[in-house]
Amino acid sequence: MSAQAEAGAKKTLRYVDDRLGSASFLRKSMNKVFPDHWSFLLGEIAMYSLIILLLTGVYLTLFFHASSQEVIYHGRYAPLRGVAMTDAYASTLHLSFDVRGGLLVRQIHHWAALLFVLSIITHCFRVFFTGAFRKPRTLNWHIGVVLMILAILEGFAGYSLPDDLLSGTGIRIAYSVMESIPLVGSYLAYFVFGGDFPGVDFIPRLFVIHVLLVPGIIIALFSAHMMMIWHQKHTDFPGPGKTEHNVVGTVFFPTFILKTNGFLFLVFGILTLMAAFIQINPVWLYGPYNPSQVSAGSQPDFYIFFLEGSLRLMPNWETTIWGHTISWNILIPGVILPGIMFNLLAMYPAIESWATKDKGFHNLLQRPRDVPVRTALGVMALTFYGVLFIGGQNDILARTFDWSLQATSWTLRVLLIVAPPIAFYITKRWCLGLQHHDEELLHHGIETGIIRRLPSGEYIEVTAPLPPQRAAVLAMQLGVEHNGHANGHGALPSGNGHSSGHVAGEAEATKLRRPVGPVNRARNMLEGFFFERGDAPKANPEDDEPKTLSH
Amino acid sequence: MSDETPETAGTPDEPGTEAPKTAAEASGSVFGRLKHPVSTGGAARQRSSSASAREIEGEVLRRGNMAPDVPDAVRPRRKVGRRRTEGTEAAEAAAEAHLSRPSDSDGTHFLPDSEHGTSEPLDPREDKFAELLVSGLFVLATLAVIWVCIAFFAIPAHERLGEWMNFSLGGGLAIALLATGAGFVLWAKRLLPHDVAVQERHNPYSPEEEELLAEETFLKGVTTLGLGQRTILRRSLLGIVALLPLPAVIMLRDLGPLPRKQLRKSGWKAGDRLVDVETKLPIKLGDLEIGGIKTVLPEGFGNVQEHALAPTMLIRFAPGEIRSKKERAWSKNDHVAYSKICTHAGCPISLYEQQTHHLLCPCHQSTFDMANDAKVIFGPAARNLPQLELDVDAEGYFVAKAPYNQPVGPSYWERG
Repeated sequence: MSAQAEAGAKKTLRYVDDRLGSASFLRKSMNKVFPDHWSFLLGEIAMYSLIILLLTGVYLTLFFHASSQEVIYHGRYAPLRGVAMTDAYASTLHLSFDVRGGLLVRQIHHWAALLFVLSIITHCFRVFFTGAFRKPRTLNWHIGVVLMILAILEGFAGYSLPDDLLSGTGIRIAYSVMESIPLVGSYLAYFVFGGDFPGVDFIPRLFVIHVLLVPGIIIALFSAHMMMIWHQKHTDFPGPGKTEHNVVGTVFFPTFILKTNGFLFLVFGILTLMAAFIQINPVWLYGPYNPSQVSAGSQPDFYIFFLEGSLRLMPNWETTIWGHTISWNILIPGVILPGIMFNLLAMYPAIESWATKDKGFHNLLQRPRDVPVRTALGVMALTFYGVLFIGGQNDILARTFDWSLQATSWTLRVLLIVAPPIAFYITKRWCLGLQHHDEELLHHGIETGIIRRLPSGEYIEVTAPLPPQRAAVLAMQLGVEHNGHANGHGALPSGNGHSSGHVAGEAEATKLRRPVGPVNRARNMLEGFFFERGDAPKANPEDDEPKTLSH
Repeated sequence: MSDETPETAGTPDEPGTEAPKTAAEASGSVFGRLKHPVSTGGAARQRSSSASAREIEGEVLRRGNMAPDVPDAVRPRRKVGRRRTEGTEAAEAAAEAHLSRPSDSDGTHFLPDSEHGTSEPLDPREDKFAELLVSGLFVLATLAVIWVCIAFFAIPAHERLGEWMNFSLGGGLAIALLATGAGFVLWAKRLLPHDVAVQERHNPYSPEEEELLAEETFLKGVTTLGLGQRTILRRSLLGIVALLPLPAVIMLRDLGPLPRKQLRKSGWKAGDRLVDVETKLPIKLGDLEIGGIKTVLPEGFGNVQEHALAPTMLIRFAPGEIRSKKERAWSKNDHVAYSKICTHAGCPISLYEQQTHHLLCPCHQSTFDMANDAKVIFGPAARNLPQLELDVDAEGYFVAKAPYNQPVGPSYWERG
């Protein structure tokens, strides 16, 4: 940096500091440490998608007419010329065919919306299965769950706006779900839609909800989400030098910010690439909405699949008592079930803390195998969700694989009840098996494949001790005391005592270690951005040599 | 970067702290590249009162923990760019000095790069190559942006404008964004020192005396407000707080009309002719072949907004195919008319299987047997489709003999 530029920078910083007293905060922020693990990128992708959605969304509002007024189309798309349609649909066609780059931005917006919800869901998996939601981060978990629900609502509102045949069908179903609510259902539907379906009020109202109300709440909650992370600092996996009381990683400025901006551009670039070459939501093929038409194989966006599936798999129950109808066949799958699912998700930290009596503070993450019951519960819930998700495509499945539609639906109905407990059992056993394997590694060391015959004629299996730090990390993850080190703080000991049966010496141990396979090598490479996996076995060319016992 | 603010000044808590002036100086010339904004004066502020936290911090940073007997494999290693060298005595001493520096006020320390596999600056050639690579990517991005600008104006208006614009603008923009992103990532990965920073976490909760003070202040405030003693005040306050949102709720009343009996109306009157939804012509006996199906609306329908519940199907059976007595009674010359709106979620049902007379809703796969009163034979729908009684008027056109005798479409609370 030249002296002049340095002076300029200093002057600017002084200018701001004289008015805001920001220097101390600024320095602390720049020195903030961020840990390095690939799974921490999932939440960041959600943030990038949000930024991209805001940018592209603003552009789209400049061309979209949120109006149900009927117009005759005269644009560049020949097959629909002269067709009566709503202004909303006509302006979407105009945007796609007559505005240069309009289609591109619309497609980026749609792809980004899918990525937004997808990355929120996968980020939620990461937080759930590693126990990152535990105290002190429970409030942020709640905010996250609300953000997820809002993202789904926002997505649904967005794809309903163009008023094409597909989205109109989605709104029709939403109207029916509202109607099914006991006591207030028809009033609610009438107030939301301004009368009979479809009416002329809904699209303008939905537009305001989509571009102002929900994004406003999302941005506010997202900011709170970030501020809490900033304040509480990021969680991290156990590793060399990592404790419950520190954060190990790279500083925010310049390292982290450069990396994260790079990824922002990469995500934006990939979305643009997809928008340029992969078509999404070609509304002109569906035609304008018409309540007397629907196309076969109608599918919503993926984040609605589970609702669609629950509506499809539900048995046809309806009761009429004292002149009132309760249509359980819509109320349960459309209102009650999602209500229970999201409430359970939001309440999970409290449920776990109540069940385990764990009220402590946690900054270090757990591996899924370390908490078998939580992992099994999560997989159980995911299996339930997964069956619903597949249920949303039962007609596509039946047609693609030439199955009977009825048999497909019935199989899925049975699976919805039967599969989750099975998934729970298998996952729990699996986790316990992995734990046993880890314990064996810890106590007996790594198998070398060598059987040694002792002078007495006895055969023993030779194992190589784990590198002490890896052993310490493993002990920490398994929650066991290792080698009698009474280190309550979880700081890693430099351990050297090994149980008998190990071959002595680090050098020999390294030699005896089995070769690192391509999967492990790739995993070591991908796990962190700046650093390789802390406890990774080293890929050593010597390892690939055939091992014989020379002495 | 002011280091000597009153906040950060404190007594050094680690023995042997001499506070070298700059990071580079502290770590010797070997670390000259690591020009990070590191605090040099003052000691760690005692923000987290827990003694153990400080012990651990010391623990982490003590070289013993990262001792040479730890195999290289377990150390976080730089992945690209630098060769590992054996630590010389000078480097060790430098590292020692580096480590013994007190943390800044937020507890950020830097572990010198040597701890993690490298103490040698990037090979100048490698460094230069990386720099050229990153700059090359930025240049590529610039060219792509220029291409986008040219393409925007150069591509002439065209029938397939959407497509061509999309490919050229999108492709160019994608290259620009991807190249910029890749440049940033490579810059971070290849050119920045990958030194590990360690930062102490402060306690998630406040010191106990702070908590007590806060509670006390809050309770004192509540007492001062007098809500405990002043009963009338409290009750009247509760009253107004409960009722204040009421105007907002009431004002939402005009969002729409009340449903009243509107949901029971389908748009059909007795004597309405059945009009083909596509040709907008009334339908005569013989217009429909055996096994045929048509979507019809009542004659004189306006736009679709007003007739969302009206769509009806006219189906013609072969003689003797209708199995239900009631259906036969309401049919006319083997023609029957049923509401097209699914009784489940209101989708227009459209997939008719001529041989089995099954009608399938594409939304949720409810299936109705059209030859037997449109009974539900599969899927989530609970009720049969309502039938429209048919007649033929003097001119031979199909008409509705009576409106639907029940509400059409999905169920709702007042339906009964």
